Amino acid sequence: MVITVYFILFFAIFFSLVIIGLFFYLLTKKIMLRNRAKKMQDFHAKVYPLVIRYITTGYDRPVFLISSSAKWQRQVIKEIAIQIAGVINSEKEIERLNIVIEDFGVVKEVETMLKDKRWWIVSAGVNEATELHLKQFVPIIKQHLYTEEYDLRRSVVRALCEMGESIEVLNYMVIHENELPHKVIVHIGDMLVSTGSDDPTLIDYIVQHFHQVSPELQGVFLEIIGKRKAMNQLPLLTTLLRREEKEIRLKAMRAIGDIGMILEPEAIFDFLFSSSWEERVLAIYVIQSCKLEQAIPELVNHSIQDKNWWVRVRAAETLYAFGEKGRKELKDVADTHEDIFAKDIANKVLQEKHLRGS
Amino acid sequence: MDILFFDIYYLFNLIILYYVLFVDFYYVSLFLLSLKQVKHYMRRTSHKVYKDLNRSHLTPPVSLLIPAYNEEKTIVSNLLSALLVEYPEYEVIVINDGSTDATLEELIESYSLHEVNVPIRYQIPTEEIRGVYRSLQYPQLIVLDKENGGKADALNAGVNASNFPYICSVDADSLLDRDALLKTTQPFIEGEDDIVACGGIIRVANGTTVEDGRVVSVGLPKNPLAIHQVIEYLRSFLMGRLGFSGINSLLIISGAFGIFRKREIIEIGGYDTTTVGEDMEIIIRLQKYLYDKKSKAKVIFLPNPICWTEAPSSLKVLGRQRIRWHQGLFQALWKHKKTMFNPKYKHMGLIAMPYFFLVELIGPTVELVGTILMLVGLYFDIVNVPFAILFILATFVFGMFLSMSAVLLEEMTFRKYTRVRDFFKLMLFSMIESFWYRQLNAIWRTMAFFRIRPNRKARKGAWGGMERKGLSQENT
Repeated sequence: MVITVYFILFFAIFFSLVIIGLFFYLLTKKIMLRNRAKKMQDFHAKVYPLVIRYITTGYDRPVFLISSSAKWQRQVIKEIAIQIAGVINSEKEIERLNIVIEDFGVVKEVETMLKDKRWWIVSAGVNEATELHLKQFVPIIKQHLYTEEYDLRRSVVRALCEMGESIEVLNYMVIHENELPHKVIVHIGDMLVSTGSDDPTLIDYIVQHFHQVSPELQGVFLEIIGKRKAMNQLPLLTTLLRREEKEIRLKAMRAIGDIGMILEPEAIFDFLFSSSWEERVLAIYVIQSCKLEQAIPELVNHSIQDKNWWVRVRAAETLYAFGEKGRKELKDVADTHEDIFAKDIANKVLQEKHLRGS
Repeated sequence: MDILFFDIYYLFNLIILYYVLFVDFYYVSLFLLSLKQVKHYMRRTSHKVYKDLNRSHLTPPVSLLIPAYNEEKTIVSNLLSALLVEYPEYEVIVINDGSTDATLEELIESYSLHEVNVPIRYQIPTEEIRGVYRSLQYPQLIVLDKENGGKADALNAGVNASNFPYICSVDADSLLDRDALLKTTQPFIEGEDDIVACGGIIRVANGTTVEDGRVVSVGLPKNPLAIHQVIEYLRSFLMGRLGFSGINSLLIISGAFGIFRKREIIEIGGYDTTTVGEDMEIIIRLQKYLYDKKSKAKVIFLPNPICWTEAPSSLKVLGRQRIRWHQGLFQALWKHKKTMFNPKYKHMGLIAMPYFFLVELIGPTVELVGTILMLVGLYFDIVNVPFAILFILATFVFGMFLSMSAVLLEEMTFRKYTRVRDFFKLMLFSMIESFWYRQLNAIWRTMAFFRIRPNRKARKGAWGGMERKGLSQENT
């Protein structure tokens, strides 16, 4: 019992001290943070118009503001610079922006961040270098492409894509595809599609390496071809519709649909009768985006009463998208079709579209 | 006889003493786990660029499900927050579960709803859907009007009507931050792990300023009961759930805000309409299902995607809510009792389930019994007075430590309450909590046991009665 009493006494004293310590720590931190936020706010209000004026007009370089190299001041300048960098385009403005951030030591700070040992600091540095268009750091950023840390690798890929180095990323994928997990390949592909710059050599690189890479990577390549609407690759896409791997056929169909043009419509019509519902849905997608009105009879007589819900919906939506003719057919389906599911789906699409006024 | 009584009394006290030490050990462990998780989360998100998700082709379309029952006062304004979230592709499905007030009429009037003929796939059995409405103003809004069947049944109807592979349950009285959906789906898209469900933090909206369905400034409420709930929510989410998420044993994602992969929800049969704590029950069932399948998929919690909810500001409503929550907890644990201490379910069976049973379920009652015994002992002069005082003091000090730790986690991370005055208030209420609020909760939770019938189904169509003031009302 005595031991328990002492234990509880120790317990109470220990946690009391922790509470007191915690209270003062939190209070001090709170006050410091508030003061810092206030200083930053004031500095922001003072600097913002001056920086904007200099960057847009070139007058009054705001060097006189650099009284010290306090971190919080750099932080404010960095925030303003990132904000401005997102909306300026001209070479002159970018050059002046670089002068400002150089003056305030922001460039040096980003460089230090990129060389840090902690991956999350490097990752933040990579993002800032990207936002501020600091292309001089591309070589350092490239080195981090081989990091173990998944999140950092994502930041680096994004940065390289944004900075016009998509080829470097593609090259990395081609060389290391066997070591890269599926999810990483998918994500890199997504970034190449959504954030890549309009580098014309990208498609050439893809075509050149297409047959050397795995079907998984070919899928990524096809997505890029589609999203970039590389019309000159339609012959390649058409031949891929006959490939054995279903995934490749699906990706090729999606790419054709994304481009919105087709060389052999009959090849697509065949997929309306495929045993795979994904192929049937994508065939309808191609029919709609390439405006293949000659497929209306197949859509009405076959696809709209498909056993798969998604096929039925897409068929009805496609019919509606075909203007007067398609809408009339869809209305007939809604009124007279013998299949109750076809009628239901036709009604649903007609009502929804009517409601939208589209 | 006296000696026997004294021995039993002594033994009982000793059990309670060791129980308290055991519970405190659990809490300290949870706090340390949460601390580690928070640091890890802040590192991972400090450099995240969420706008990328908005244009990524991998961002999955999501169906927001908002079950509503007699929400005529708040539904129109609160729905706006769901309709204005930043997300590339989503739909909002409001399920009017046979409201007896003008909820449906308010929605029809305010959002220009028109009845449409939409075939519903009944993948999970539910009460009959009377009508489906779509809005002229918001193409992403769908309203289902159905027969009353309870919140779980309403959610199941929403799952059936949803068009997208992910569903997100949101309470009708809650407000989502603009980027809440993007932040919550981020681990589904970018994460290395396979995620099947993800919950975000629920914060108390009382005291905030709301404009156009959006929280524009954060402050503490004036109502003391609501302030206690602010601390309680911080402790529950930033300490409890974050800690359990770290060891992949999360057993609850709040019904107010959570995203699920629809495939798994349908595979496990949807929400259980026979319990009152459907949000906890479905997570336990989901985790059990994943363990049984030997799946590596995870259920996680993120501390930053924020959903704001109106907390009860009267004792009557709060008491009702707590009794209901405790009944739900009991039902969920009872239903899945076979997972308790079962090594097959690893951390879930050996740590999380015992925690919810020993700490969350019986803890308040043990605390109450302990206090009563202590008073009895003092009255009969059979207790060591210095020891009793010391023990009570230690318990209070530890309670304060836990509440202040939650404030610490908040201050280390998101610092939503920026005013120094609010900080002092939080600290003060962390201290006084142990003197009345804890005991009150213990009484309500103990009362819940007297209303529980483990094998009896929940009353059909039951909804927790919460009298809404409306968020903007509270703040004025």
